[in-house]
Amino acid sequence: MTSCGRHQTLDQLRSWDAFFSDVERKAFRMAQFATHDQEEALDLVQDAMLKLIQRYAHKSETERKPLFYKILHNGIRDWHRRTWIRTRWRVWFGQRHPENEEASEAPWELLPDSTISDPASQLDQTRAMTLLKSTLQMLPPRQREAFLMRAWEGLDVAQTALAMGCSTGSVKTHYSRAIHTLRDHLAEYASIINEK
Amino acid sequence: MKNEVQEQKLIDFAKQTLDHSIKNLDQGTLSRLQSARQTVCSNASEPDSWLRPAWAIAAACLVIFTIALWNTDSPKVTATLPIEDVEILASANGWEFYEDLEFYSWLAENDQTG
Repeated sequence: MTSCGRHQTLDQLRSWDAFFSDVERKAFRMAQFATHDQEEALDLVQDAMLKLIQRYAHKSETERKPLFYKILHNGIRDWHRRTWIRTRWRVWFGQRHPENEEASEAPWELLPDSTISDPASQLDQTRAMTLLKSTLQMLPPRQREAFLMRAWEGLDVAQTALAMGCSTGSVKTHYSRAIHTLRDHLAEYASIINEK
Repeated sequence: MKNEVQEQKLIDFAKQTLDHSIKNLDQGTLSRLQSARQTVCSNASEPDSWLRPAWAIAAACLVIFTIALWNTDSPKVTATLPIEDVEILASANGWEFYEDLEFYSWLAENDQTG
């Protein structure tokens, strides 16, 4: 990291590095939920990192996280627009049907978990993740984003509103509906949830 | 109260499951993320502050120049006719007279000299 940037001090660059390493995995997973594509998710995360450091280098550390997720949110939205247009063109020119555009199953779910030695526990985690993932993907995008940013990333309502570009009231509504849907669909896991 | 507790348990379950999923990302993805982070840091350079106004001034000059050029090149359409044209149009003489005006001028000059 010593060769990083001409205008950033070493301390600043260390601070950025720490920030990015803190958010990159969650951001990647959120982008992957939205795009169903590992490569696109990686590109979106890198793009969000780059834009944040280019445009908001002067912002305080407390402002970084909501701004980062705002950029990521905008990137995902633009990606959906581009994908939609591309798909329409393909359909019009008969190259491919949208049904064939079904996203392939993300490989991360199928990878072995090296930290779990107990197969039963591994199966349990895999099953839990599969169920949670499918439920999260059933949610409308804004509900999913509200839930992930609030519950998982720990942003407060105002920060989530900034990141999503909507009012705090909308965030509360999206979050509440997401919780309601998750509760309904994770009823199968109610016993596990209640035990934990 | 019971709902709140259940909601919190649901959130805890989701967080735990999601945390578990990112803890165990494959090495390839982790390497890509690390590489992305390092690329971003290596490119981290704020644009020089003195360049910003320079670019703004250059852009403004370009806009002004373009507008000026546009106005200069556009044909000027006059709504009013010159007096000479009105006279020609209103004249009782035919168009032929004006077409042969040069000849009449020459004739008049010859008459004066002759």
